[in-house]
Amino acid sequence: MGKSKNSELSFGTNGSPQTKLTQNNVDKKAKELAKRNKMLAKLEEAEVKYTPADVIFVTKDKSEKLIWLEKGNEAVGLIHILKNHKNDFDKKYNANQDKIIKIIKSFITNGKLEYSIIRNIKGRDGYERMYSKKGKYYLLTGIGINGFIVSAYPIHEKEAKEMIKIKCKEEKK
Amino acid sequence: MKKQIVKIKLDYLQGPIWLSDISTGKPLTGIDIIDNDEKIRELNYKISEMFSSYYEFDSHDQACWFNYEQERKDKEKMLSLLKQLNDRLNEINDGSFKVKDLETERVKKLLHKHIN
Repeated sequence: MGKSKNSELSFGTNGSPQTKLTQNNVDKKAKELAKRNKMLAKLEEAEVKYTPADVIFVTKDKSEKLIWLEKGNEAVGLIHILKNHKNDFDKKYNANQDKIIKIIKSFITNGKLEYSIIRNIKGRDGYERMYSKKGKYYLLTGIGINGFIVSAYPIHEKEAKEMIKIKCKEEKK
Repeated sequence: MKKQIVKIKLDYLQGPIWLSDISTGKPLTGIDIIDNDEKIRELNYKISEMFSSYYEFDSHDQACWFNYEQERKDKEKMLSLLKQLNDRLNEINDGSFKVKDLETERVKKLLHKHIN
């Protein structure tokens, strides 16, 4: 019968489907690693304290402020957001964990910054920032003065517009 | 008449009455008897400030560090303030709302020593 041209297939010869699949996976991982390193480099450059292994995303909002999300714990970051506001995201956007992360990142990166107010609590500053999309979806955030996302949650349009009205008056003072 | 739910919930720079203008403590429930009550505003502001003060940035080698120890030390004080807030809400309740307190039981359970 003799050997077919593809008789060496199981050994993954150059150009075989297995080699191509492995190479694609290696390329994909290399790209992901490069993307992650680029993301962490922004935090290095900003000279903020951060936990590299816990960083989920780094972005800038329309004010050019560098903002990032870490895994955190029950009081701060993603774990805190999921513990306290998963239902809010679920009701509004039918969102699972991955989708919640994307929603938060999208609001901050692409959304309109409705207001940003520095709150001084017993000598420590933090931001209350509200973002919106399409004039009817709103995300309220509590962000550290360093750009660390402590918390983020969707709020109703009516409540958001009331808060925006109050903040605009505050900013004019 | 369907009763509106008023949540008592704490987060960094928000609460306990959900939602509020934390610069003044004025609640934004849309219920006038709550939103215009001075005693509630004052309690709301005190509780919010106390809770948000537990957050420190670029501290203890972390981007954001929560002072669990201080929260535990303030446990009785916080419980007292939350009780005053609940009592006042109860006092002014004309039947148009129902309070859902998500904090008192959580604070009661705070242990003497935080377990990481």
